[in-house]
Amino acid sequence: MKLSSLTMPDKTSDWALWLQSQFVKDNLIDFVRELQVIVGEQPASQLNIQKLLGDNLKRVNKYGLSELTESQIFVLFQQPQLLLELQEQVLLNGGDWVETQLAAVDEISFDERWMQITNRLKQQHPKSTFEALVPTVTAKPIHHTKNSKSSLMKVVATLTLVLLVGLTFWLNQPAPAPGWGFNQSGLLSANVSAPEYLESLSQASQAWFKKRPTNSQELETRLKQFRNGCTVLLSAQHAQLSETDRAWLLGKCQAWINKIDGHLTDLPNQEFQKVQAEADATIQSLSDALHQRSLEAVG
Amino acid sequence: MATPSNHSADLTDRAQRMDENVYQQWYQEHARRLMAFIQSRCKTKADGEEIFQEMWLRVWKSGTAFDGSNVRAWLFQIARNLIIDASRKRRPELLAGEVSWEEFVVSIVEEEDDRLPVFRDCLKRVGGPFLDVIQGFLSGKKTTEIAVELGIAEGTVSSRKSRGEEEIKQCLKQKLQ
Repeated sequence: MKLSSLTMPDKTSDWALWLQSQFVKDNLIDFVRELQVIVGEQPASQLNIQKLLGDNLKRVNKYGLSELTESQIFVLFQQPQLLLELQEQVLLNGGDWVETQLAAVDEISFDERWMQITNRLKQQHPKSTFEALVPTVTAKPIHHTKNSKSSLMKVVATLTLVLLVGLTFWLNQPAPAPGWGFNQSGLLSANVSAPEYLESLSQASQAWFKKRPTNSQELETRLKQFRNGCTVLLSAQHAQLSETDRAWLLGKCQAWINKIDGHLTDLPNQEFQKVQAEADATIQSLSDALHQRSLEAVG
Repeated sequence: MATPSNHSADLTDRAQRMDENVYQQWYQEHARRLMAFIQSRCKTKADGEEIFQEMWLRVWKSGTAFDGSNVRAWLFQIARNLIIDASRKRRPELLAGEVSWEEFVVSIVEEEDDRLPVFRDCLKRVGGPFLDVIQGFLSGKKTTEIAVELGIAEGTVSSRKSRGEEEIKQCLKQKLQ
């Protein structure tokens, strides 16, 4: 028996990101029940998420639970049922960070579920012509049906479209920059202890300071390249880390991406030097956080 | 080039005659969020999987009823209805008559879980001093404040917390062996 409440980080400053990782697991309700046992019966309250978070709810939806203040988290822990309401809110209205978080815990393939659903539908509606999901990570074999010719044409057309969209997307991406930041070769697959791994990530982030952009366009490219590195971090396994450290890293990663997005949004409207200084501070702060975590992690 | 708004209008128009492409697109865009939502409101994973599939079958049947305003909100409403229906079959005594979603969520949290009595026993065994410390942390008090309130040294606060957690783990292990 595993209790979620016993996996909570010691530092209260890590609670928001830990909570965020719990929101996409299937046992949030267990955590709510455990908290109710711990905090005991609370007086009846009319409080709801809208009242508790006020305008901050928009920011939480947009950027994630790292936007919660500590005092809001403490109220959530005292009235744990609100956690379920907040979870529903963010699953319904939350931004891209929700998808990212969900992708990290995807246990059973959604392609597989799609096949099961469409098979049931085909039994009920024999004329329907559902295709396998196309734009997924793992390609599924295509099963030809009676309408094999038209199905094949549809698949070819869809694949061509996907390739064209992919090519357009790729051409519009900042130039790939292998070898710096979190894209550094061998960085994520290194067979090292947790403290060494976190420290190597901290060191890798310092590569940001090695090349200084001289105008807005260069800064934009550099920020997008660094952001790509963060995305790589988000989808990596991090087998070197414990579950707690991994959850911490993924949560932090999402927060860094949000900050970088903020700098990219500011760039057209603010002075280049100002945005650069803010981006420097963000990256120094993430580097420091990784370093600090490396000192605390158990190897 | 299609703008997001006319892309969405096109989708809505196609939804009114529920075709496979729209259906697939809805699945790709919303399935993960719905699964997380459904699983965290169901008693078992198997229940969640069943409701998830049932939900998509329902969407296929009633897709033309979609009013075009917010697909995700509409899909979540179908999921909520199915979760309540499934729960009703299991616990008719609790859910006789009309029930709001909020009331329903309260009722599933209150539903006794097999693990909770064990957890409660272990907490009781480990004792009040540990519980005082944990409750202090969860209510936002700093170590120093908890120490002052309980009349103990700061170091004792931390050691009570870590020792208590360890004892609970041991207790759970013992009771569930």
